[in-house]
Amino acid sequence: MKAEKAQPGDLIELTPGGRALRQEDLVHIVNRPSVAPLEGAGDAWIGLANLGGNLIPVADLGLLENGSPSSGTVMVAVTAGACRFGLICEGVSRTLPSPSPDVLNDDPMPGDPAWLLPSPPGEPRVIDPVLLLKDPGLRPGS
Amino acid sequence: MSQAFRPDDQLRRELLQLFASESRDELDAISGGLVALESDTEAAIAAGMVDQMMRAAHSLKGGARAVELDSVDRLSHSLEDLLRAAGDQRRFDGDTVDLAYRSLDGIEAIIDGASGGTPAEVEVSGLVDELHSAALALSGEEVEAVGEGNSTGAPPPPEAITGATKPAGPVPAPSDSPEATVRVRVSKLDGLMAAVRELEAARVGVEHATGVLTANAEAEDLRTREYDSRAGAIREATLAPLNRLERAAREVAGEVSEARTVPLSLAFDPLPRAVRELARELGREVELNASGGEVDVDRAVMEVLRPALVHVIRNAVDHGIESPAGRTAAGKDERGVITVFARTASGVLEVEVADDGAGIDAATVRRSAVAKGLLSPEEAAALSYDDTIELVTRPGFSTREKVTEISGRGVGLDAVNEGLGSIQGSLSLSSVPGSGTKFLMTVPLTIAATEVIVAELGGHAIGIPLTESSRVTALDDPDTASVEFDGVTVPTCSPKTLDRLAPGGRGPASVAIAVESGGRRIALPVDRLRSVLRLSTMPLPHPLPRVDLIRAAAILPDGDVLRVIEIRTLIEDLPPPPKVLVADDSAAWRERARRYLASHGWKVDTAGDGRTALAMLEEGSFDSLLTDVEMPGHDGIELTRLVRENPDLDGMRVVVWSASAGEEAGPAALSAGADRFMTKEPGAEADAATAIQPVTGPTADDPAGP
Repeated sequence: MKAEKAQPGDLIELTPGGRALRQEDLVHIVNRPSVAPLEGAGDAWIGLANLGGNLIPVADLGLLENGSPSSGTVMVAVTAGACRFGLICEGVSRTLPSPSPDVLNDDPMPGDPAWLLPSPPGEPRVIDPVLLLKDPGLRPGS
Repeated sequence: MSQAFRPDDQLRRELLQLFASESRDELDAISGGLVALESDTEAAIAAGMVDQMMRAAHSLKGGARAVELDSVDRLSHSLEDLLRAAGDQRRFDGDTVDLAYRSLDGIEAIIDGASGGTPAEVEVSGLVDELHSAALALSGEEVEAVGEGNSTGAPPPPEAITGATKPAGPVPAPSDSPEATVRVRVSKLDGLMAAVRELEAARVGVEHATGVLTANAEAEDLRTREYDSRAGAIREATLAPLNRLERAAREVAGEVSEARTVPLSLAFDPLPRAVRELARELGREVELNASGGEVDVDRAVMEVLRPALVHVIRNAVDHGIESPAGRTAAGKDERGVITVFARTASGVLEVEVADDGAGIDAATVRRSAVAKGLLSPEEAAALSYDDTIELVTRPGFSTREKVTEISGRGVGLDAVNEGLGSIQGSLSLSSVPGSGTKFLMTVPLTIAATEVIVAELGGHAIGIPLTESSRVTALDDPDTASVEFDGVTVPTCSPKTLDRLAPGGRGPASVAIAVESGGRRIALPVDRLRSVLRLSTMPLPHPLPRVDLIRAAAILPDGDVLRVIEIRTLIEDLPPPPKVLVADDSAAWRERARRYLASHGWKVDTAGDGRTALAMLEEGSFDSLLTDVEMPGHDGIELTRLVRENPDLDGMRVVVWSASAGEEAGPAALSAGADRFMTKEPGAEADAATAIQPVTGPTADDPAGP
């Protein structure tokens, strides 16, 4: 398959590294807002926030990844189909070109969640927000 | 020669969707009329039902022509012919009604397919022939081939349909008519409602800004004569326009809210047919009585309530009403009765569906719950009757495929419950084995703005709807276990619940809000009160699931997120209410006692005879019995004696009351073991409520209990 030339700025890398978001999935990057707590929605949902006059649910990437809350000061607001939600993470570092499909590592690490897409060796794994919403941590009783 | 207008694809799609929407009303009108005509032809004809149905068929035909749905045009026209012939002959027998229903199904399927749904395969020509033949047969004419002229001729004027003469004098222009209407897309109304919310938010924002200005003016460090003067002038200048803005916002909100409403009777329309068809299919005889349809409800509420009601009604026919033979064997009339009753109270609509069928078999429900892995056998065995039957509304309890496993209920009731939950409604049920089952659907009348007490808990805003909060009081002890409101002691929410609302920690509580639901009260301690605001709240945003403690959310004028508390969940912190069985053969007294006791925090079940009452007492876990003396089955004295002889019912409080029993009834009741005998008369319910209090546990002086 012929690889398309990667365009700079296709990905936003999250700190401390190892994870990234596609630019087209990203709505806003904001300072961590006040989050009204919401118990019982799912372990990784931490509550509701006001994003420019709209109510959005907020999840914690640290809770999703390893069960520990993030201490970061950044929220990235992402789209997943028709809905928007916030992801609390440590921070964002840089933009990256999207990896070309022919260098993707199709052999993810055992135990990796389905929402981490394959990536070239050594490059950050890309988060798929639609698949992320299916994570057990975002379901009640998780 | 002018070219005929041909709508382009986009326009035709839009027209089809409009037609699909308006045809719903016409189809429902014909469907409802058919049941009435079959049931009592003369009465329905006298009520003008045939004319109404023919007008509806005629409207269908006209609409079909507008969107070039020739098949619907032909079917509607032929249906209209059939209705006219049947009306002329005053004959709406089962075959005629069946054929009319099949035609309606065909029309509905064609319209649904054309407007974006699943494409339908309908044998139009065959149906048209059948309709034509049936109409001719009813008219006593020979059956001929269907003439094209018969089905494609110009529609007769409305006078020809109704038989009415044209009124003399000038006919007012449609727009002059006080009842002139225009169809507006729901999306437009939704957009308008969103704009109203913005308007309200802006109003509250300006109010807030003025408040800040005033607060600054009152702050010592900012206070100068010039600032005071300017702040005062600004405040004065903004006051009048702010008041006007508030009035305008309320008026617009009211108008838009009203424009979104539809009569509840629209939800009743499909019911007669649903009952008729299912009853015939199952060989049951069922009478449906519906009342309260004149209430107006929000269209969004209607969209959920209508299918929910059909679902519950079908469930009542399928699993509630027994076969005629079964009913006869049980000493009942062959014909079962389903009653639908709607009422409103405090911005809430309650729709009750009651049947006089077999009730729910708890043993079967328990077995099913265990088989589905919802409960262990031990857990199932420990459940009370009421808790057992509530299982049927639980997700995963039953599936359509496995319906026959359950002789009681359960077909998709969890889906009904979930649907109602999506609009902040709920489904509850009660059942009496052998006597019937009641479903109660509770939904908001509107999704418009409501007044909310805004308080702070753990640094975040929480809201309590004003309709569910009765009192606010300052707290001396932030950790108190109970609070006194107007001399009545009310327990506070558990620390566990408060921690769930404020997982990040709470400040010392300075205020308690008394909240109430279902006649029970609990105190919610909060860090501080902020304000009372009129807000449009919204369900939790997608993709969040339903959360038991939070009913809705909103953004406050200062940008904070407000979580509106689900009061019913808070009430669950209270110990379960004591349970009383009211046994009385007078339905009026049963209902009277039930309402009074339920509104004072009791969980109430009723029985119409002594035998049923005893069975319920043995099956359920009742704390008290309030019984009449003269009843079929066992009378109240005998019932009391049987209760006292049953060691499983040891400790039950028994009160016997009577309106007409002779002087010997009192001593006889006390001799049989009653704790008290009293005279049953209007106003005696309060005394009865006191008399039936269990010796231990919550009392009527404790409204949490009751």
